[in-house]
Parts: sequence; structure tokens; C-alpha cells
Amino acid sequence: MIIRASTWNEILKTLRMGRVSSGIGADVTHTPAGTILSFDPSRNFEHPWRIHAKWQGDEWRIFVRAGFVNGHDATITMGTGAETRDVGLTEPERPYLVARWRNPLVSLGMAASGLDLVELPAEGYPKFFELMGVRPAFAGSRASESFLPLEERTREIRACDIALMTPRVATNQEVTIHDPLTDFQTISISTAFNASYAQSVSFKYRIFTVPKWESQREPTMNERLAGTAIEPQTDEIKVATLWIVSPPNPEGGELAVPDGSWVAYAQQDVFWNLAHAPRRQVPPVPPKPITLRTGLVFGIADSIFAALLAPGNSFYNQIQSALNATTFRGEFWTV
Amino acid sequence: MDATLIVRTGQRITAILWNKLVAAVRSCRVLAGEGIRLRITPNGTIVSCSTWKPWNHPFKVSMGPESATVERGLIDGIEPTIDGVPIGGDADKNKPQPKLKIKPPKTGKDGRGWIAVEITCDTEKQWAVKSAEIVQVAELLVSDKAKARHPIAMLRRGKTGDLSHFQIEFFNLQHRADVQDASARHFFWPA
Repeated sequence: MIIRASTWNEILKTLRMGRVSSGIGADVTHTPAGTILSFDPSRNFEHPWRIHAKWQGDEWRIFVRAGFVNGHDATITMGTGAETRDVGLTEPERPYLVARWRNPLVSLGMAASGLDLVELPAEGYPKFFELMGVRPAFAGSRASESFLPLEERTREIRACDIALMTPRVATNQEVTIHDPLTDFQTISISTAFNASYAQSVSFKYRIFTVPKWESQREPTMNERLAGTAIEPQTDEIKVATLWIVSPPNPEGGELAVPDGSWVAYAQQDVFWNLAHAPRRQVPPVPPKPITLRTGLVFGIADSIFAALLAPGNSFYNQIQSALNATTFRGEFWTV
Repeated sequence: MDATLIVRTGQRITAILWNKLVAAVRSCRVLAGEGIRLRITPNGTIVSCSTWKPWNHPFKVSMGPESATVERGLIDGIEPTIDGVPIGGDADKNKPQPKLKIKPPKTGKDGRGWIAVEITCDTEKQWAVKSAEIVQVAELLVSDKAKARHPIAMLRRGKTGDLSHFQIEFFNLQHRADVQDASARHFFWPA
């Protein structure tokens, strides 16, 4: 039998048309033995805070599905300079964030190791991206785990975090060590409220983007007692991380900047609406100063504070509870 | 696969063999079953799953032109009511699912209002939830410290007067109160 080229090509065309690729809610895995189809309808569920990234206007814009804190929709600050305004996530205007990228492939910096300075390993990325052929992160510990040869891993990856903040009352302690008397010394600790940030902004809950979000550092007891504590004036929670992957061998190599040819992947941290409250009710006026009379005469401030905060000290519990009562850090939780 | 399709070196490709191959290729075509959407292109077939089923979660709000209904949900095991009827309806008393009037909607200056569950606590019994009612309000705060409102959905009145809603609550709820002399804080979280 003679098979004409047109007939041969026709059968190839039919074969090509039958090759399956994944659409919405479907996963396709090609194997030599056949194609595995998996379906996950729940992927269509548009949960609160779900992020979508789009390449628009020569920038990567991040759209956030409406999410609520204490029943109020969070806002995004739009515009620049004097024309900034807070736009709610339920507004028809559809506010968006502009991505600010970090490179998780490069070293996190330098650190001292004995007398030497060493480069810290890179942050890295989820293992999922290895399979896509993303270049190994600095220190390459993951490279040996991959089944893809290194020469096939030429894609770049960048990341950006999306977080939620709400202003809060911060406190500062002022510690006064009075002149010592013959057998005791008086120390008073007063607390002042600082709500300057909360008063300067119009939003209650704001979504923002940073290259790398870090949880806020709360001051230690020692810092509070010494009066050097700087409390954050916001409570924050990370909502999602946006990862973006380049085509193979992108222009610019390690310095490549994401453009429309890159593909974005969202990694959500928050899926449901939230409630937020400070750990304790904020009183209308700052708490009354506490006064301690110690037997630690003629001590210098640092040694007095260290002695007061020693667990065996009779003032320990009194100071702990007094200082704890002057922080109004809040918590987020799912509702 | 049909084992007779496997040929040896030098074997002639007969019309029968060829037609079997054509049939085998045709049988590999992808066809859409229930809930499956196909987009056939010259370079392949894109398969999408369209078996999306609505999730009838607790406190799900469905809007009508004049009123809204709220799917059955519990708060500390108590089913809230609308006009005295449990939100899921009362089969024993032959009462259908009640409707919450939303017209005209109560909204604040910014066009936002809420469908909320308003609880009343029993101050004599450790502030346990005594009753719960679904209300449509322009404000979530209440002055009576034995009462609290938890938002179920937000209503947004647009510039043209159109009303849209955003679901806030998806789960049954628990409640506890943090009571101080002058005030009380009410906390809600999923059950």
C-alpha cells in the first residue's frame, strides 16, 4: 500500500489535535504510557484575599479579591504624591498594587564566621519551581535534589510579598530613677501613648506590597524597662507571596527584570476573612505610673534593671504584669 | 492497544493495518463528558473542568430584589432568626425560610451596610448567647454591651443606586465575651 504524504500528515494532524493540555480547574500529566487528567473544581473558588497578577501598562499589577477585617473591606493606596487615595477592595474602580520584586536566588548577605566573612545562602524558592527549570539558588544545596539537569534550569525567578496592616496604639516607657536615700531607691515607670501614625492615616486596614515582608519585632522587657523600647505602630500579617518565573534563558540573565513574558504564581497565606483586636482593651488614658522602692542603692541604671528583671526578684511579677499591661499589640484571626 | 498494530521490520503496511491505525488514532480523540469543556485547536486540545457547584455554606446570603435569605448557620449552637423564624425555616411549624427585608437598604455615607447576626448575651449566665437575630444595619457597633453584631455580608450601594453584596462569613460561629466594668468585647471565630 502506498501512503501519500497528505494522508500521513492528516493522521499527524489528528494526533496533534488530540494532545491534551490543561485549562481551568484541570491538571494534565503526560507520561509515555498515556495522559493523566485530574480535576479540582475547588480551584475555581474565589476566596477572600485571592491575588491575581496581570502585566498591564508595562508593570506587574496585583489585584486582590475583596477581603474583610472586622467586617470592613481593606483598602489599597492608589496614586502618587498629593493625589494618593485609599480605595476599598469592594470599590468598582478595582484598585491594584504594583509588584516590587526581590531576587530569592542571590545571597541574603554577609555574616561573620569566626574571623571570616561568609556569604549567607539565598532565600530559595518552593520545590515546585525546580521542576519548571528555575536556576538553583545560591549555595546550590537544592541542585542535587532535582531530576532536571542543571543545564536545563535556566529560568529566573523573583518574588514579592503582599501584606495587610492596621494602625495601632504604641506605647513608650519613661523610667525615672530618683536620688537614692540611705537604704532604698525609688524607681518610677510611666507610660505614654503614641497614636501619631493612626491619627495621620485615613485607612483602617490597608493592603500593601513589599519585596520581602518581615514580621514586626516587639520590644523586649529589658528595652521597656530601660525606656528604649520602640513599639511598632501597626499590626501586620502576610497575605500572599507572588512568585514570577521567566522563560528559559531570559534576556539579562541573573539581572533580568520581570516583564510580560514571565508567568506569575500566587502562594496564598490567608484564605478567609479576618478579625483583629488588641490583646487588651485600650484605656482612654495611659495607665498610671508604677513606683518601685528597691534596696538597690547607688546602682547604675543597667544593673538596677537587670536586678529587677531577674526572675527571683520580688518585683519581677509586678514589673512583668505592669509592662505587659502597657502593650496593645493586636492579633488577627480567621472568622 | 491493539497488539496487531505492532509491525516487524520489513512487514508490509497493508490497507487493513493502516485503517486499524487510523481507527486507533481516532479513538484517542478527546471527547467532553459531563462537566468537561474542550477547546480543540490545531495544536492540541485544552481541557477545562466546569463542574463548579455552588457551596451552600453556613450563613450564605442570597439576594433578591426586595429581600435576602440566609442559609442555616449556628452561633454557639443557636440558630439565628428573622422575625422570630429560624433562618433555615421551621419544618415543624410549617414555616418556610424567612426573608430579610433589604429595601430600602440601610447604608452609611460611604454606601456600605451589613447583613449581620446580632446576638444578645445572658449577663447572668457567663455571658452565654441567649438569642441571635439576623439584621440589616448601617453600623456594626451597638451601645448595649450585652449585644454584639457580627457581619455576615457587606452591602454596597453604587452611585447609580444598584446594590451589590459581598459574603463575609462562611462558617458556623463560636462566641465569647471579654467583660470589663464599663464595656465588653465580643469575639467570634469559626466553630
